[in-house]
Amino acid sequence: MNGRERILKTLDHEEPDMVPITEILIETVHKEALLGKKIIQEPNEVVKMGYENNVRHYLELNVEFYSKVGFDAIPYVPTGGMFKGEKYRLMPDGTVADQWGAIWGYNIYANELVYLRGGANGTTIEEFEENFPEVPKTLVGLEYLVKLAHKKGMAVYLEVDTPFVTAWYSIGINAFFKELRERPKTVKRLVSRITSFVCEEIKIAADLGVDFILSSGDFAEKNGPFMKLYYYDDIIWPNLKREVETAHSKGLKYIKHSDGNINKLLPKLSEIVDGIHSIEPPAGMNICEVKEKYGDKLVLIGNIDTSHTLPRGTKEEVIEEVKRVIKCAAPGGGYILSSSNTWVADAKLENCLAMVEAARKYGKYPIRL
Amino acid sequence: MSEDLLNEISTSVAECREVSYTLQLVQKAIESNIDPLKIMDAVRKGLDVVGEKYEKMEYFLMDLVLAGTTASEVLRLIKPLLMKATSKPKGKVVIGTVAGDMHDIGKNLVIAMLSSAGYEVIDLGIDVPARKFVEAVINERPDIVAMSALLTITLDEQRKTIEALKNAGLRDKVKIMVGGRPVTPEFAREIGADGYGKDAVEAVKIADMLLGYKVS
Repeated sequence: MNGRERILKTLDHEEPDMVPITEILIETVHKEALLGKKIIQEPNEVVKMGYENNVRHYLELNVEFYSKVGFDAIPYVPTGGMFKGEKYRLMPDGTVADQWGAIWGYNIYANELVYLRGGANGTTIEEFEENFPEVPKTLVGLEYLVKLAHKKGMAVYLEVDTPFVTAWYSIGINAFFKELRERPKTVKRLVSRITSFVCEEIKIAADLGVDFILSSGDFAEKNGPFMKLYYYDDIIWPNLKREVETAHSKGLKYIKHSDGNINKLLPKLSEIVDGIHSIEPPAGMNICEVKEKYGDKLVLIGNIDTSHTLPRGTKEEVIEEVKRVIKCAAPGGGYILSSSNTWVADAKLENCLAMVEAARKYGKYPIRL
Repeated sequence: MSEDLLNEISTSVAECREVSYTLQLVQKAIESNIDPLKIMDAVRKGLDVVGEKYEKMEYFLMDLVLAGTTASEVLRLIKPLLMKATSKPKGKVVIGTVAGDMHDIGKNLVIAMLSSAGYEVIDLGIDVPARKFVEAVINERPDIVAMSALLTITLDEQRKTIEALKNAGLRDKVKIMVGGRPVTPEFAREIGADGYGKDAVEAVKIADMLLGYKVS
């Protein structure tokens, strides 16, 4: 059984030969350390290289990395990292604005673009709507990625941005919450318009051969949901449903990522999406409880702690955590092993690799832990 | 009359009313020649309620951000008047987001909360290298240095800044508090900080604690 088959069986809540593994993002320092190669991400160099060449360069190295580690699935991120490329706008202060008006700074230590603030397309919804980007005709490089990854037996998933978070990234968090408090109907209209954009991306990705959809962007923080549940009912859930229905109409499963404590959101989420990613232990998320309550409805991905175990834990602690999580979440299928966020830069690479090794050793079905 | 208006300001902040509504009340208070310190204290009382409710999980991040935005805008409006007021601040805090990190939302929220609680806050901005913190400690003589880091890759800059203060012989002159999403109490202890605040509400409590004020 190859990685792709393993993933698809897991998404169908069946037990494959072993627990599949993926990561939605790996910070560049780890990729460069393991591959011994430089990934071109510095904005001026990206521009010099040309967008399509840079995307190809990024994808090839990503496939090489994911395949070397032994992951079963690899993400395609249309607006993350290098994929801001085509819509790149180098700003006079050295920052980069993306198509949504979010402003990113290049972090030289990490060789990554990091989100700074919104506002490049305006700080009001009206300005934002005037500069609304055109729906893409294709997702550059995705067909190539699918070909490369499938050849290596890996599944490919499209990582889309959650419309609600796109809106807040674009005009800035303060302005966004202010608008939401004062003009909820206007925010609703905007989120709905971004959702239509995302639905088109999902259709394109499906036609280009991706195996499932994962939506990034958080719905919660460590204290719980960002906002009163009323706003989720009014704005978030109806739009999320549209995305999921679009994915389903193309025969694809839809996974929702969120950091933070999502316990209060799980009853609704379990009615809408096919799975959840992150399940962050320091935010109070207990994967054993989530599996017990929602395991028949939701595929679970994540839970290996990125705040303590991967950066500061010992190899033995990593192995114990992997065993504990697999024991709770893997029986019956429906669990994909991953960190509780990403391979963050201060995680020890040897711990991340130990996580994968332990998952392979103890994740063989039937689970005997 | 002035008490009623001040109570209205507190309530407006506490109930997370529209920012523009609170600003109107503040403007009215200014025009009525109400002591700007009393206005700021009314805002602080409102923020305290928001903070308490957030900690009890009755309020959400959105409420905290809205209250912080309101406090920042009120502060901007009455800062010129506050400068003329004579009351002594509770303490002086030098704050910045560490080198390599350009996030300012959390830091600005902490500034709004500390300012409203009666602290004088010197904002060094974002991407602040260790030597700038050292210079600020020499020039500003603060009671507290507060550092924010939002990226895991810039966490170590908090340690480096503490080292730089030690090397400059200034470590014992100030209390140091750290915060930011990836920071943990464990990490704060490891790098030798005096305090760790998990959010802007807790930052005020930590500052009070470090300077020996009664913590509510």
